[in-house]
Amino acid sequence: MVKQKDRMAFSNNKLKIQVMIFIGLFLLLLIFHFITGNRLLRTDNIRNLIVQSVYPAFLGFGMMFIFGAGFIDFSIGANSIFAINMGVLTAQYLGWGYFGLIFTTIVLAVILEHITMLLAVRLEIPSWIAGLAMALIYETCLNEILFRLPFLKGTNNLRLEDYRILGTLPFMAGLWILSFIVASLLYHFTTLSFNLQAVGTSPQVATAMGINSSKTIYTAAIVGSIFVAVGAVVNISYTGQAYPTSGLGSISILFKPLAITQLANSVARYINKPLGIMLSSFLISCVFNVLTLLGVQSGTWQEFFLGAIVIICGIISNMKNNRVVK
Amino acid sequence: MDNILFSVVNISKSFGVTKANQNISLEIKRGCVHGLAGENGSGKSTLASIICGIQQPDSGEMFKDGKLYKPLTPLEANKNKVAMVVQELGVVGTLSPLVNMFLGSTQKYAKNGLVNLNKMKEEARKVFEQWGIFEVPLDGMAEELSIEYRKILELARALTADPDLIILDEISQALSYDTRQMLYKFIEKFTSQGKSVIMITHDLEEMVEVCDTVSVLRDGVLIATKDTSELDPDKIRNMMIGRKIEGDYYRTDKKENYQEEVVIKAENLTVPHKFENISFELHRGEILGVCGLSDAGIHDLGSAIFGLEAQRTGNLYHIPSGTRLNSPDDVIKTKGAYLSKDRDAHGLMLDASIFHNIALPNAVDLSGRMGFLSPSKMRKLVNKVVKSFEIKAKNINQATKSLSGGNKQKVNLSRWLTKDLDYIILDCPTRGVDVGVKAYIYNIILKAKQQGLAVLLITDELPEALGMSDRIMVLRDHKCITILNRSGDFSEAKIAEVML
Repeated sequence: MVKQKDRMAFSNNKLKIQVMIFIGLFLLLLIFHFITGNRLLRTDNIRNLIVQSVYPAFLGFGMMFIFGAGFIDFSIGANSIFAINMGVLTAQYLGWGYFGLIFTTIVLAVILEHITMLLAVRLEIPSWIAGLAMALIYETCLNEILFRLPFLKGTNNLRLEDYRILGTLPFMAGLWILSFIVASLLYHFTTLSFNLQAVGTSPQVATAMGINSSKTIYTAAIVGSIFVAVGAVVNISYTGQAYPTSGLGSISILFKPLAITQLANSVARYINKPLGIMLSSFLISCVFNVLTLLGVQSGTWQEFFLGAIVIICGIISNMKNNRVVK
Repeated sequence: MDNILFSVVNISKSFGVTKANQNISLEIKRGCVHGLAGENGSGKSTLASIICGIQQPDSGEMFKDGKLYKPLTPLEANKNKVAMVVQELGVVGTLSPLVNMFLGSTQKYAKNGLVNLNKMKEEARKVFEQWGIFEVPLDGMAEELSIEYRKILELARALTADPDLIILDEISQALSYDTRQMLYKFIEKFTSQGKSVIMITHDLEEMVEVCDTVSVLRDGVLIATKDTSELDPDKIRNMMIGRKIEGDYYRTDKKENYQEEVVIKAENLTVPHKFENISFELHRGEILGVCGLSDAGIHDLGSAIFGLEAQRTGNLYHIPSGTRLNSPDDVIKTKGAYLSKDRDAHGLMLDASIFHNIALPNAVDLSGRMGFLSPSKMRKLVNKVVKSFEIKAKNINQATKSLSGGNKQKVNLSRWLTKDLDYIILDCPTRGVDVGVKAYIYNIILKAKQQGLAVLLITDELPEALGMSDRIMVLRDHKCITILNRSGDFSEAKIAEVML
């Protein structure tokens, strides 16, 4: 006795909404293109859009794994800034080249993420508190280290002059797509991801199913921080400069990916989350690009729109959660 | 081969000062359905969770197939072919039903680190087919499934372990009439293969009907184990409570009895794909039962009346105040209340204390002129409710999530029934509640009815509908087929005939 009717109805409805979302997205891009005087979707500008989408997408994928365990960790930004500065230091100033850049950044990002997780899990500190505290600590430590480097002469500003191939096209686009493929495989086809979602949303079910929660959380932290680290490498390869932050300034780099993950969450019933992050990263980049093309300066109304987008995405995302589930 | 599949010897388990199980010993025969009966908090679920490895006993031993059995985790229990459908566990809403079915063992389907979902789907379908249970939608998110589907999913999840012994902890109370029949057929098929079932249910009629033997627990102690040929529901009830319960707990009058005044009037209520054109009048002092098969839409009707279904069309009025009821706020303001079937998701604040859960709906009534709440008044009320509903808890500050299923339901229901209400929508109010409390709840409902409360009683249990209602509205294929009167043809056979 198979309740075929229900299954068919669900998949038909899902397909319909998927199609509607894609059509909506396409129409939105056309509107953006039109209001920017046909500049948004020009080939040269599409390159800009891709470049602007890559780093937030990597951070979004990282958040998908780290936040997925129920840990709202605000130290991710400080963590990546610390790791990438050390990466640049080893690559450019110690002469370790690409190996130093990539290896150091990844290893440090993983270690720092684990320290934050460890504090939250072992000491049972709410993750956002542990995250904020560790962000302050990582920021300060980095500033102290950079300040004491004699060759920087107190500027606190490392430059990556060489080893920047990952910040050029088509490498950036390739890495963007590769990150999506890897994130999709990990998120949809691995035991880690299934266990992670169980631990993050229903810890009791996870325990009853024999899932090792700690192991799952720490493994997810490794995966998430690798995404964050690779994103930071791509970003520094593009910008060439690593700026340390202070006074929780590192949190500001999390807003774009936060908006992206919120947006992806809001359509997660219809579009799988990695694809949602990919599309959202492109869409949000488009929004900022439109603002720039319309003459809105960064540091003024762009930040206003970023804040508004985070709130709007949060509302859309919660609309799903508030829906009565029977 | 030894006829005993599983045995428990002198199992004890305590939580602080509470002795949940005390020296319990019992034997489960092969091909047998063994019932576990007891009041809420009697230790049934604790014993079941020890058997399936969720908890470890303080002392005592267990044997399966004559060998010592000591699972430290549910996975170990599964490896020993013991599985359980846990009463209050549920599913992971953000994962697909398919992944939920194999959660914890998805590694089995992985190659080079990647899980083969198609292979998993094949295995899932084999399980449904093998045991003759209907297939739940495997794609999408599990949170989109109805409670009934989720319960069947949990059953299927337990069956993926290919168990010899399966524990069904109050599964049937979440199921509608037709799905229960399917469950009974499954149990028959399962036991015919020499496998055994431990069944925990508060429906004692069902227990006598389905089980071969029954063990009764009271306050963590095993009172007796007997063949069902020696038992009837009354005998089990008396053993559970420890005193004689006289007569039936349903009403005994044979005629509908309510006032003429209409309290709620519904005209052509429709929620697309859920139900269509439902019209009725609910009178003062009336209990209007609502019955139907699993997909008939009875539970959706309850949530729609409360205003939770955004797509609802049609008219709904609270006649005494002339208010059109569009939202939960309208219902609350017109002295209405709604008790959802899914108490954990829509009823209780599980992380909050009993105090906060009970005080919340009464906060406005208890606040002073300036709007400030009086903690002493609130405490007094909560203590009174806890006492009168016999909610078993350490104190009123205990987190609600740590209560047994039945006690949670008592908290859920009691906080509404202490209010001055005009009407209430009760969706399966006795789900997961033992006979003692069931009798108490029915008594409270009947008293409230006599005082003029209008009750819409949505239920999956026909005896409950028949025993309590003045009239019964039967839904089939999302439509109201008939409304039967108590004085007319009011029998289980008649309702089943209309429902099917």
